[in-house]
Amino acid sequence: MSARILLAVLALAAVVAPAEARDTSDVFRPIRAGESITIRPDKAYLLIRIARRGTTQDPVILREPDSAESAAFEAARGAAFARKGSKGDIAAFVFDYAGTPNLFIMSHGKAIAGDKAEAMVLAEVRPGNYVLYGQGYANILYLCHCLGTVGFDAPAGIVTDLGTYLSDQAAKPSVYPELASESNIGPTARMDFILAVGGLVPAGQSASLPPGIERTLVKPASFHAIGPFVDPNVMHINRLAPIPGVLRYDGGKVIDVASGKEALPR
Amino acid sequence: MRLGFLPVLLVASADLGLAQQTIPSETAIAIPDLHIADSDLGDERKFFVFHKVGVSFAEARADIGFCSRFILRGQQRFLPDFVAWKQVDPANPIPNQLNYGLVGEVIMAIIAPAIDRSVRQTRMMRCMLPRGYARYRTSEALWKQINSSDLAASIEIQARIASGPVPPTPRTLP
Repeated sequence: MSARILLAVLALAAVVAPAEARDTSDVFRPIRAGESITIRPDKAYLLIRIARRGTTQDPVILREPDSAESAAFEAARGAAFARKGSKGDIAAFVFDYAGTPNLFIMSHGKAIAGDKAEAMVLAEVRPGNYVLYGQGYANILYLCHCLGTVGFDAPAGIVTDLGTYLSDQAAKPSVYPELASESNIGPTARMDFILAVGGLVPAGQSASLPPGIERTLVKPASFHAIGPFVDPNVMHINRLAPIPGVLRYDGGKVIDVASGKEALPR
Repeated sequence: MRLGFLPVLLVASADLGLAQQTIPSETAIAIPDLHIADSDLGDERKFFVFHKVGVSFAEARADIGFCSRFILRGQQRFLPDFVAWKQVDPANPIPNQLNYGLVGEVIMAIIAPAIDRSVRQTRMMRCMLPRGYARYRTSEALWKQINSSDLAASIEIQARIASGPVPPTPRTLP
């Protein structure tokens, strides 16, 4: 992580009261090094490698909630917003939601394996549809891939291999050739808070696995494009770098390569 | 999670309703004088206007309006958290055009401290450049003039600039 991004993180962390410890392991639990692994039939597993030559920010994933979850959240947010005097826009209102979360960071600090070049993170999660939402550090969502990203299904009883996540600064040439089209965009991307860029290299059939995982239980993720979305509660926005065969851009439009269709904004 | 007070970093909220206003005609919007002396040009990272050769006023307004959806910045989100992910409704897609309901406190994002202005400019740049727009330097004073407290009017005038003659000031690369 660059010094300037670190400063931004510290600036944010300094004004945040410690979060109340909540056990969210039922919906998201990183499996740590040395832990025995049992693939449960009622859980899904996400495996991702985080390359560590760039900014080493971590990928953030979102599980698409069902309508009941969203309704419960909207009701709780409306009540909390009213208690705060209904000032501003509720769309940008953040509060301490006691319900089941659906936005998680796959932190390289909780890797199951890794070295200086790469961290491998394995998480036990609730089965469902997921979105590669953005990137962050520690417990902070620093950047969303709000201008285009990918989604994938995580079925029960399977380790879904997401491949390798890349992050780097957008202002200068990236150490990763996969990020070339999104980086080296100049000093506007390097002001008070550095703009980062993210990319994903899908896993091949023979990708390395953490110890204790049978290859027969691992399947590379099948990705589809996700169109632009708005999240006011982040520092920066960007788009995931194009992925051959999966994700491309036509101007500001997000294109799902497999279908040839635009992934519409939401 | 509990959040502490963020006097600088927590900015702006907006009314993102869909109230319709009268759309002014293109010719009713005057392009300001973009000739700026070199000595008056502001920080090239922050003070620029967008321009695209051949773009129509309507297209420019749609692009700037769409990208303005992303300038709202609220409280920082901390993880784990919950996001009410909305499904796309193909029968009712989000229009790629200016939302004339953008009023009220969103202007804080424009007139807020410089640190927020820099974040806003980075967001606009990231959204507009892939749409084929180039940036041309301007002064801080003119930038403030075309990014006034009236966001809808600001988008109109920026669309006029973007679809008008190539600005005479140096281009900011990329």
